[in-house]
Amino acid sequence: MEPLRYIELVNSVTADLPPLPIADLGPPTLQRPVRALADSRVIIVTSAGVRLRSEPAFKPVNDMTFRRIASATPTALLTLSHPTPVRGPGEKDINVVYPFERLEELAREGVIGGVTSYHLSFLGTIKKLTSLVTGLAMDMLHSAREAGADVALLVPL
Amino acid sequence: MGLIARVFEREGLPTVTLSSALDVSERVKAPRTAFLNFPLGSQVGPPNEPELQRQILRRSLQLIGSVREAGEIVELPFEWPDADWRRQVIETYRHDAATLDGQRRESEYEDGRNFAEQECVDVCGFV
Repeated sequence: MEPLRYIELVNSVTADLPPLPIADLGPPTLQRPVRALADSRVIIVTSAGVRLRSEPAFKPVNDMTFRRIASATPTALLTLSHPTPVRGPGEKDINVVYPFERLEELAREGVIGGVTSYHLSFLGTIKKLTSLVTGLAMDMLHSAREAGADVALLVPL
Repeated sequence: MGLIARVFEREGLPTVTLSSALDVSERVKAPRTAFLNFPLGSQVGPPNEPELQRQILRRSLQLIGSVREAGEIVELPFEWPDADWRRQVIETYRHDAATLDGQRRESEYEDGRNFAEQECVDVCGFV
């Protein structure tokens, strides 16, 4: 079955605005893994704006901050910040946008070497792309490195 | 999310990016993309289906070792259980059109000026 074309869909329902701005980039760099997956520690980066319920929400748009979420944080203490129309599944089961419990299970199975002691969360409603790649992305990279991550699993919303 | 993956890989950290928006992924080109032909918002699988979610994550994470070409998009062999999902997603977007319009105006404009289109051009020089 043909994939749904989201750019066309958003453009059709926001027809008073210019076309949805999406960068059109050249080939990326590909980093060869140093370790086998079964020996690799994995960190999640989610753009769902996952946060502790006890903490302030992210700004609705262009929030250039991120949060560290301790991997052991129970689901009941977490919530999403993302305003997208399709946030419903993530509100029913946070693992569909922040699969921290599933990763723990894969670590116990030996599929991956382990998970980091915290994961990273930001809110993906960012259009300030230059600041995103020169600031927020680099800050999250350093945090992933501090956590000892060998692989990053990026889960958008 | 693809932009962040590109930065991570450039700096030496391997990534796998999940996606259910193929048209966006084809533009941004994350280093390794696991494409799931699912409704947006459920990339790891349907809610409260832990075994299926684990299967999806196993297949996704295996791309770390199997992808050889930068920017490869691999469609994973999973089907969403409800064949009517496209109509439901389209209806949801139409229903929330006014909210989406407002979010776009808030995120893409500053002091009445659209800056987001130029950002898409400028960012190419950084990743």
